[in-house]
Amino acid sequence: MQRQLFNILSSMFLSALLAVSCNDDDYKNITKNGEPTANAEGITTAVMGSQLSFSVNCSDNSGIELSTLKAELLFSGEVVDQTIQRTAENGNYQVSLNVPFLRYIPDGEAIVRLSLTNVTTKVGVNDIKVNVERPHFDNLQFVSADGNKVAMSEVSPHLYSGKFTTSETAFKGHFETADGEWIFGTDGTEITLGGSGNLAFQCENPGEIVVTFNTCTYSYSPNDEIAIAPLLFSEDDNIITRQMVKGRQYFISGNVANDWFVDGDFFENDGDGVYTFLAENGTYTLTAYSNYKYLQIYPGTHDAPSTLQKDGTGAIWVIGGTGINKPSLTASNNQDWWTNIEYVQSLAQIEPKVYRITLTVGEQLSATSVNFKFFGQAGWGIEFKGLGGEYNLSCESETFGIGDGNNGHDNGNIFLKDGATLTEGDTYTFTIDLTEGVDKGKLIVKKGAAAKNIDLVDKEAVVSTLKKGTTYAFGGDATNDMIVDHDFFKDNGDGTYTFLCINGDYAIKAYTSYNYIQVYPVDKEGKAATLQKDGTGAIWIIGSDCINKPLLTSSNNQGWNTDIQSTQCLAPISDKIYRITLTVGEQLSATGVNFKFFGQSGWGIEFNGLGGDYHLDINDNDDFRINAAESDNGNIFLNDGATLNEGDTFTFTIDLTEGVANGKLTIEKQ
Amino acid sequence: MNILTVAMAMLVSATACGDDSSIDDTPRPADNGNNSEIVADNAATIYTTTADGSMRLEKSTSAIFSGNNMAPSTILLDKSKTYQSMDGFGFAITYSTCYNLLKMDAQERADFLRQTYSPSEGYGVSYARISIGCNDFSSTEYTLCDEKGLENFRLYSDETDYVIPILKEILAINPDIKIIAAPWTCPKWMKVGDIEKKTAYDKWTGGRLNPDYRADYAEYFVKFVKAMKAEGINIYAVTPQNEPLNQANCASLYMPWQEETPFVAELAKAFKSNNINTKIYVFDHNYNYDNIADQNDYPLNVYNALGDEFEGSELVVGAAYHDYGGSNNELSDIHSKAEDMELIFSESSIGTWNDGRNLSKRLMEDMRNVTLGTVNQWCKTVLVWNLMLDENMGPNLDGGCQTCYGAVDISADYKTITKNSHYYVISHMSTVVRPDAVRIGTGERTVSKNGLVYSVFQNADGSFAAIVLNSGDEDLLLTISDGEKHFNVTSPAQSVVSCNWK
Repeated sequence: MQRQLFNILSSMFLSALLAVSCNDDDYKNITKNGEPTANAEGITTAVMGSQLSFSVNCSDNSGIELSTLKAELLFSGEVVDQTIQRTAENGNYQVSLNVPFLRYIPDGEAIVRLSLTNVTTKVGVNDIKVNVERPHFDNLQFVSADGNKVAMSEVSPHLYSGKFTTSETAFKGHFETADGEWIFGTDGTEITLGGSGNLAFQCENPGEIVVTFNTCTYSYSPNDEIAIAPLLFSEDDNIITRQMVKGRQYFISGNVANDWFVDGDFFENDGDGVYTFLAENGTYTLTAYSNYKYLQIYPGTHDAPSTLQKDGTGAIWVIGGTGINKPSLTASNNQDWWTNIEYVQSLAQIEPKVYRITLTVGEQLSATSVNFKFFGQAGWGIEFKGLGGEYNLSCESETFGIGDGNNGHDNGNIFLKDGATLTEGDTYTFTIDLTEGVDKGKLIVKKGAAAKNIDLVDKEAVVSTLKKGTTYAFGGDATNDMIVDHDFFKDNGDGTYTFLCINGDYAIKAYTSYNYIQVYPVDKEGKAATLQKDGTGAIWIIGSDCINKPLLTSSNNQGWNTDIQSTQCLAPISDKIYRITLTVGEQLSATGVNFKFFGQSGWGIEFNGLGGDYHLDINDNDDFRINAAESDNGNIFLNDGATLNEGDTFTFTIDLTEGVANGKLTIEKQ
Repeated sequence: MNILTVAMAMLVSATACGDDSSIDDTPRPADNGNNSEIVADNAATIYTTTADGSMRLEKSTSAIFSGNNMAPSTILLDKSKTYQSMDGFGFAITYSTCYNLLKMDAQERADFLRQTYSPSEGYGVSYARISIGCNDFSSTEYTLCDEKGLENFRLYSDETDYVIPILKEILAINPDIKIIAAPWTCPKWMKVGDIEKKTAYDKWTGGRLNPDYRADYAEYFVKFVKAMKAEGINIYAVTPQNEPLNQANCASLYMPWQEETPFVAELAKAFKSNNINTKIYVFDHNYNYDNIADQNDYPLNVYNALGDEFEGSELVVGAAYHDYGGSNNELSDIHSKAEDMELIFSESSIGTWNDGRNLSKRLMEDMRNVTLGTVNQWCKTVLVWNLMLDENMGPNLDGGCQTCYGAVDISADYKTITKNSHYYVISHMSTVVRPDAVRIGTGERTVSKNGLVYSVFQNADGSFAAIVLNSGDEDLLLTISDGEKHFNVTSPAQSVVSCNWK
């Protein structure tokens, strides 16, 4: 009977277990039994960046079968690695855990937690203390970008130092053990173990310098604060990701030369490789494409370019047809609606939530084929619509429109309005203002580059620091009908003017009585610049009433008068090279030509044609000569028999690069 | 007990669905794998609210450890980086709020107010905003001097029967609470339609302060501060005008910076000559200056126009902002241009327009924008609109906000309180950040994760506070370290966690 009863009980119990197996909820009701125990010996220490391998003895003395062994490595309670394996029977099981090598983590006591579960789900937990240490290297090296290797020694815990010789204020390299097992470099965003990219270093005083690296904090030096932060590019190392600061100057060097297109929406060219960053502070990636001489800038990292956020921050991108492209329409990256980072255009965030892109017709924007769209990423996804949508733009431009899907253009696509024409050379700025929300974006299109305003006062010299290629507008007493000295400024035809000369301080003077804006360089004291012995400074013309800006008929035309308003300053178009452009009948008489080049707007230094410390030789010229005689030495006259035609324009260029005593005057008819 | 009974018992035991024991009920080691030394008798206090509402200011503790902190996901406080000191966090105590509170059973009201305002038994809400005269949530439009002549100044029944009694109850719970006051309108007899012609303006909405009455209006403020003082209520700060660029509303006064500037000078002088040390915050309106071009950077214009050589200049301490237009980035912009001046955030509301009763949406957004987003951009104070409205968004006035929700809703029977996001975002700050706390920085080691936003503070008593928003979709196990001690805290996906420890 007892046996029978046992059978009944057994079958009932089995029925219960079967019921459990048929219902997920019921497995909770398994009665936990047994004493699963996991033990490991000999794991008292571990080194960061290595494997911790050990044998775990798993058993359940109650005889219940085992299920799984979970091994976890905990750093201060946080699981940094774990592994789970099946454990059917009592016995030894091999476990391997990664001991991570992480930035900042100090040496300390970690926990290896062994959790052994038997088939009744009973868990036995065993925590084993393990001392974890960061490794010390006896073979760490600094490896420069050009392959030079410098041994480093550990001067204090985890701080390594070595001496490196460089002739540059900016150089690149990474850290690597001699066996190549440990490499510390950049992954494009930050310094990491295993990062293969070179890090950027800066030193104020090149020569033999000390390079350091801390393998705990990942701090490295030298990173001297250099007023003009260097950005060094090479053919092999053409991507830099950097925290950029609005208004800060950067020195762009390496294979990015003066003839490259450096995106002007992000950088203002200060000359001599120096650029001022114009966009909002943040992480940016700069990529030098040598095949089409383009320095591209966009927010974010190479792996994660910034995207537009719902609050209007982040980034805006242009994707479009072949009618839009930076650096130029003819560059090989101009591909029809391609979305890779190389083929899209990032707008510069010039103010929080305000983005801008500047395009010149015939260069970055087709005069006839306008079809592009604004996106929230460098690919498909968020896109700005002209009608409806979570991301919406409105535009009041008379030239450009936004498609709404009903007006013959795809919703959100930018198009050239019927009847509107674009002129080669004209520049347009497209500004997107999201300050009212991404659903209330405003697209503002203006002809002309974004201009800096300078307020002028009648007959007063307003001194400003002017930068070549920068666009200015003049306010105050300046009026739209004033003639701005065309050797210094290109008239953009829209009330803005692009500066043509070398960067520096200039006086800008408005004369309301004869509608002229005169420009000339000034010295450190703000006085009219004079010619220096090294050929820098300024060159001036004093002459008879045969020559005058803005016009011969203007009231400031006073023969041989040395007042500044009656003299003509040549434009310093590059270092020690000066130019003035004169049109016959407007600024230059067809007859009676007689003027001279001076080193100041008055008497003093004057250029001679015969000898002299300041001497000019003239190119072969049919029309003009420089008088090479004791009398009127250096005066510019017409050649005998030469006649000038009204409307002809001549450029007079003086080149002092070979010294003030070896000046070359080149006169060309345009 | 026979053997069949035993068998049946076994069967029931094996199949019972009501067994709520966990799968893994094995006790964990006391240190939960955190193998530093436990600091005896010390634990961090943690409050957690999740966007799904499953945890609502749920209190727990976490053991504090000393020794090396090896956790990668660490928020490391850096006491060497200090920012602004804090004044507090709170709600507007309007007539409507008080009306609803007074409709409650007295004991239930006391319990609610204690839970909200008590630093020891509740969430320690530390600041309140009231109006000088009427606001959108008054019984009617009025000022404290509706009849011409300041001799007619008096407190109205909205104050005497509602706001003052409730403030007294709150002050009994938390005597240190700070109160800021702002008028929605000056008395109509002080208004003109045009400040040049000074044409009379007999409307509650719009109009401008007659320049001839600037001194009288300053005296009106003095009388208000004194009248409240007589009731035992200290007015810590005022703003000259609620939403000075808002010409709508049920009651308003247009006061561009060109007109607020001379009034602020009068007000500071009046306070000074009456030995009143109530602070003055200028502006009290939106980040975008209501898109009025010449009102851009309103506070800076006031500061520059005032200079610092006027009587009572020390009382003009900063500017107040609302968030009904523009971005809170404006706070950083203004701070960068006037670093010596204070910033406070004085009003935000939830309502029908922003899905205000949807905690799953609002908790994340309001924590990010209203509290952390302002505190991390130099605000000393964060105030939101009505503490309590009824389930029909009232009582309210025609022309005022009829679509606003309170930080809490009270049911029609004045029994059931439903807490909305604004209650949680304020309480999450006030419960761990005490007045005079200093916001501090974090070290380079601090973990950076998408959706993780936080503020950290050191209180005047030396304790620390951390408020962590996790708007990501994954639970995070974080370690918070003050550099000497650390503890683990779970930051659930879509949650706010506030921590306090010594």
